Amino acid sequence: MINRVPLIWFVLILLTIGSYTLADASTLPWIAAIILCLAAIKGYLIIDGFMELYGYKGYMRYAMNLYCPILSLLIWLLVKH
Amino acid sequence: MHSQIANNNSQVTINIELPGDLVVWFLILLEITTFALMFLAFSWVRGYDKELFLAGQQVLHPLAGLINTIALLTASGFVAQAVIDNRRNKQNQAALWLFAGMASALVYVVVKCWEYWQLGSAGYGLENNQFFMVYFLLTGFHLLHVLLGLSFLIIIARKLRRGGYGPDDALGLESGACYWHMVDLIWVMLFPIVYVIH
Repeated sequence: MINRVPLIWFVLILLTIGSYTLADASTLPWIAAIILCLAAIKGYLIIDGFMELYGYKGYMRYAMNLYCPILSLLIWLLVKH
Repeated sequence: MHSQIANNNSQVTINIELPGDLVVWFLILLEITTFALMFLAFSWVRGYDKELFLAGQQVLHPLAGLINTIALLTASGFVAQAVIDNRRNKQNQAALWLFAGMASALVYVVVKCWEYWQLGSAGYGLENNQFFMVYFLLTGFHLLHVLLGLSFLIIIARKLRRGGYGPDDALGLESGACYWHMVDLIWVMLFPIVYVIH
């Protein structure tokens, strides 16, 4: 059995540091979009990896996986327009 | 229930049932929806007075936000590892991972309290302006969820050490773990909105 938890944790930390380093340039709309995309990817990793919804075919997984991308998009629209 | 499905030369664990209790998942949906509305309200109010929000963000400690993010992600990783070890029938090791997760979560609590103390000492509070009102409400509400999640983890770890969970009896452990990951998920969205995006 492959234990993916350490790899997921490592990618999450890398994405966090990556978005943090973009903070100074985040007044640009496209940088803000990248930061929110990184947050959505992190959300996906937590939901499918840590919450173990990977492979589950029910509506709950779809609802959870839609949460971060939709919220990120709405926040970006509000923040930048 | 989990099944191991062969994939080329390796094996991966595929979850074919929802981990934890369905009621907890509805609670999670309710909680993340509430926070989503708060995030949207924060972003909407920010649109009306960008200068005020930018000035407010300059007072915050982005490094504290980064440390808190790493602390919560690490706590989540430890909790996820505890669920896996319980499934491998290593309950004592699973309990140790949970205690490590709690220690990591305590780092978040200490740093957050330090942030509040710093801001309070500098004269910033709920009544200062819209930014600080929303900031304290949003992060304070999240801190309450962290404390609630920590309480669940303590109860679960104690039960785990007493042998209360096993590979086929992990509903409570998985439910508590999923609640904890939800707390982490909310922070993952909160961190860029409050600390990173200017």
